[in-house]
Amino acid sequence: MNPMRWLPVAAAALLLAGCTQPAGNKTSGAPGAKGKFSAGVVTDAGGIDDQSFNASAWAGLKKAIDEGVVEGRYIESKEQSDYQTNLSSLAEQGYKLVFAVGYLMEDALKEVAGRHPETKFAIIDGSAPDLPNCVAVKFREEEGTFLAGFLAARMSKTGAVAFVGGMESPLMKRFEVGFRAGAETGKPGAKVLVKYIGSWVDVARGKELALAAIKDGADVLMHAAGKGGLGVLDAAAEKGLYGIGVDADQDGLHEGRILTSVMKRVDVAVYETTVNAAKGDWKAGERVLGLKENGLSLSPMRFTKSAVPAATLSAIDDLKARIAAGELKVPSTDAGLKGFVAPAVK
Amino acid sequence: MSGPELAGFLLPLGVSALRQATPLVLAGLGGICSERVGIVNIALEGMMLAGAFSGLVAGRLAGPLVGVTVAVTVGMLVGLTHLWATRKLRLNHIVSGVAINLLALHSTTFLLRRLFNQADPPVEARIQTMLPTALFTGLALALVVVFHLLLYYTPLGLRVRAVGESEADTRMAGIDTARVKMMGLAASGVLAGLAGAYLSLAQVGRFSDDMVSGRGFIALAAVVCGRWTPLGMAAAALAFGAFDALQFQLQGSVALPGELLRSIPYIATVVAAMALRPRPPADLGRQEE
Repeated sequence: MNPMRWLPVAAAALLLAGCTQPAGNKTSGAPGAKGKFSAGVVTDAGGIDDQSFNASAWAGLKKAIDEGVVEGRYIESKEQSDYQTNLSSLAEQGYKLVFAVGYLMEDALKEVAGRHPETKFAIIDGSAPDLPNCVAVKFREEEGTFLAGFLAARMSKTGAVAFVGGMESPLMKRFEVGFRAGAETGKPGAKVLVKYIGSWVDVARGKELALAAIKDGADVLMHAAGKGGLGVLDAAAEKGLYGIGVDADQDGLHEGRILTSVMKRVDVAVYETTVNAAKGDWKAGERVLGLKENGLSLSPMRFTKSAVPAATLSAIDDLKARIAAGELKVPSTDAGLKGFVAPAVK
Repeated sequence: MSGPELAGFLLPLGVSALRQATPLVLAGLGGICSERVGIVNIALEGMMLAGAFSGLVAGRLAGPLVGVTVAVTVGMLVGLTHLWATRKLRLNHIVSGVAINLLALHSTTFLLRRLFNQADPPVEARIQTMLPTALFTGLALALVVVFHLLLYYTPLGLRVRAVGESEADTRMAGIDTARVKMMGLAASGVLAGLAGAYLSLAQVGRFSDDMVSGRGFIALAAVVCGRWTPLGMAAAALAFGAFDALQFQLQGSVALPGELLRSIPYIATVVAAMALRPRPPADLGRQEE
């Protein structure tokens, strides 16, 4: 037998060994050995270093771990078929609370949650089955992008701004509609160019779409397109315009050229859910976080704050307060946007 | 629309179309080089990804031109691996292609994390001095002509075509078919690696995982639509690029769903496959006895 035949097998084995190291926080032994509450995060296919959603979820749990409230770990999913395995594996290992990150895990959770009634499950950004051990954590994304749209329109010199999304879905629509409503509030009649890449990973298309929008006059461009959106930020920076980041604080990607980022505080949601559950405070059902609950916020604008007029900054604070107080309702659908009347701003 | 207005609309559209078509043309030539010598090549995607990543890493260390050199070298190695797997290991061509694509996707993702995203401190996988896209576009179009002449007007081209039609008969004629195949797959890898380098070093200026995003498969579709000829493939690739540029521009201003606009290349491939009845090289995918 030709020994060379085994070379690809060996190579594949090595690669697998390298790729599937699942443990994040290397806690040894069974969880909860010292009677401590234990929690785990199952990432979706985006992986733990997506600089957005999954990374943020783990950061939230990590904070609770570092504070000594709980112990825990994460498991990464490589593809959809891993979701169910990973969720049940954490439940079977005795973790008391398991986070499923992303709406793609809805179906997997439906399968797993009923079989593990002693484990609590929280799904981020998706719907949970109607069971006493499940909670769904959702966000009012439109409230965050509303503030970004307002800022974008105020900072635009051409009167045109752009929104580049990943793939069309009702969830993405909330991002888009909030941004459009915000731009209308910032500068009535402002033009908002809306484009979708049709992918979460195609950076080249993201960049081309941004260049197309720039050609049509847009000079502030927000993305909500995962890794594909990096191309949007690159295009804006290359042309000396402003980009707006999403999910995490992306301001540092191009210092001074990213106006702000709409941060979705998955970390806050995970942290609070964990700490509350550890105290025995558990409410099944749905929790929706907006500006009021600190579920969304604009980044601190480390590099751009000085470039924004003080009046605009205070107008944003004012709008934020009015939304949090429930005086101002931000639309989240096309139909809602039609009936939206831009509020007067100081 | 008046004349200048029309020009103002069409010119940027054309430039954008060329930018989108360039990697398809380069990778498509790679597809022709491989399939004309009888090896089915769905591994273009993986070769491009390997080229894009290695090109960016080398480009950061030693400048973009070195990056391109490394990208084509890595592409060539992957191309020869495909040949080795299909000929020596007698792996089914599709199986080997899938394996190479998966290997490229996961190993570049893994290395991207180790070297950049999860390094301490994290580093952006970006390059500051980018190469002009026009350089690659010009090269790609020139290569289309070169490969057309090579394939139809030189003894080597005749041999390549003969190997694709019937390797056994060609060998009977006293031609070293193994050498022809090796040249075909090496060229295939070089061209796909170059297409990858274009993405990371010229068009985008960064690497992010899975950034090839199906362009290898679209390039293969262009090969099929163009009936395995360089000129036909280039026409199809340019058409795909033009559709892409058009949908970028029309999105948001024309009430057509983006999903429909984006599916045009795929629909065109199915239509072409039915209408043109393209005939692949007769020996394509055949396992040597």
